[in-house]
Amino acid sequence: MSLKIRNLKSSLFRILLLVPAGYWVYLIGSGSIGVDPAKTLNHKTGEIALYYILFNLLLGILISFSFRFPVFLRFLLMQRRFVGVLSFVFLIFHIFLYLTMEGFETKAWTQLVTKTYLIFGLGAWIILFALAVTSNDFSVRRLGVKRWKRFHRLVYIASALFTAHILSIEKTDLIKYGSLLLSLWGLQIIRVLWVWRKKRITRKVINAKQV
Amino acid sequence: MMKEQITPEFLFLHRRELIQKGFLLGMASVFPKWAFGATSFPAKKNEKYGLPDKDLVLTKEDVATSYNNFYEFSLEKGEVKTKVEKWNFNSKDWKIEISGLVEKKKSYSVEELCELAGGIEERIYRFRCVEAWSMVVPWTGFPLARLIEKLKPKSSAKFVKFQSFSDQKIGSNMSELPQYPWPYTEGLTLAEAMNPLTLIATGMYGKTLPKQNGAPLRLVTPWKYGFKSIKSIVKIEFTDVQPKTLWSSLAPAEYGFYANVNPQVDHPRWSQATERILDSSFFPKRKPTLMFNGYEKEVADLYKGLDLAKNY
Repeated sequence: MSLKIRNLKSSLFRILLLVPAGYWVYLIGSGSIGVDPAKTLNHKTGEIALYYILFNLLLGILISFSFRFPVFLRFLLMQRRFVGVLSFVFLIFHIFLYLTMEGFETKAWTQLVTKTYLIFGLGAWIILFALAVTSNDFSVRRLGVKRWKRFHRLVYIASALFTAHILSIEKTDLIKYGSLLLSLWGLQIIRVLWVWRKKRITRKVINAKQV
Repeated sequence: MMKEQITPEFLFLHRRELIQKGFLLGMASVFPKWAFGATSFPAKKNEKYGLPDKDLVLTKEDVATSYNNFYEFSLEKGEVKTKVEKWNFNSKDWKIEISGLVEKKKSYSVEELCELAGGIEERIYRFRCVEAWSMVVPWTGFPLARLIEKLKPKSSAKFVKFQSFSDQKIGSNMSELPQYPWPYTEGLTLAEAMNPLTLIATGMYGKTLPKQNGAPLRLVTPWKYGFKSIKSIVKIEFTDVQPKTLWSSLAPAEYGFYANVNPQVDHPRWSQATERILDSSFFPKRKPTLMFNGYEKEVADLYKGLDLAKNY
């Protein structure tokens, strides 16, 4: 496949990913963002970032379950880094908007100690920050593919943290996010069991061959 | 043409209204009841309850009418305004049932209640939501105390329970929230209900209440968080036990029966020390929240000897 077509495809895919952001920018521009824009956008940026991360995590799960890599999976796999960085860009806005709401003064910092959801959220943010700044070819080369991959498994700790963050702050949409996150973790558990079983079977096959 | 001969834009745009008002003024001098009628809009301003603070400005009408916590319709505050459009509402058909430990048990229309309470008036109140935002709203209505006096509660009545509609055909979002103990229920102690501040609002900004703000009538208790001010009331019951309210049943650790505005008692998930005065700008002004939302003088006596940190 020529490089050009692949580039075109990935450009289209990336533009598609930016549609929700474009929609919200349009709402701001047309003045229909509502009475409390900062609050609305704080919520929305968090939500959109969550969907991007879920996309990446689900892709990982899908890969574990597939024996061969279909072409579309290979394509999506190549987009993972972009999607991850994009989600972090949204999380920068997410935190910035929170700070404008709570005031840059002392308040946000005193709340950090008393409100546990903020600790969870900040923890996830710091991890995702580290992953975002190492999402480039230079870092992959520098760390080596193996170490880079292992380092980026921190995303699972981050996802545990943002699960706690969302479930402890959400009240009104608890069912929506709760079911979403619960199915994610359900799938992760099935995935671990699956991979474990697959490994055992291959080991058995190898052992049988050796006999 | 001289400059003075040009009709000012204001007068030109309001010419019909001016003629109408002139006519009404003329008629009112002949029939005073038309002007100071029990229930006509806009109602007379009660000067005692003008702008509560000279630093405050009245919230713009379109802000106050397009940002509503009304879960029966939507969880999104900005969406309620469009969701209520489907509600085929007619104020004339609305009945409010008065029941419980009270002499005048009966179903009343909105008009009847307003007349019974001796007419409506306009008051400007601070409005503080438990979500730490606030507005300043001109309500039209009558003090609940004046109605209660006429309804004659029995001496055993200690609380007043309010209920909103339970019709899922009205509240299109109610079936989406099956874990909520519908209908929306609120309550006050009888002493709170009798406080002169407690208002039953039938209008805002000089007009009848928009659907999204709780048409045709709602409670307004300005020293309490907004969720106490139940919308679209269909039933007022006098009881001797503290009513179970929707929010205190759903999340007892976060929402109590009293729900008095108190900057010293935080919500478990956020601080109540300050509030953002919403005006649809990106960076709304923030101000320190006042004890009892600035109505300490009027209501502090109601809670003497009560531990407000425990009875939040």
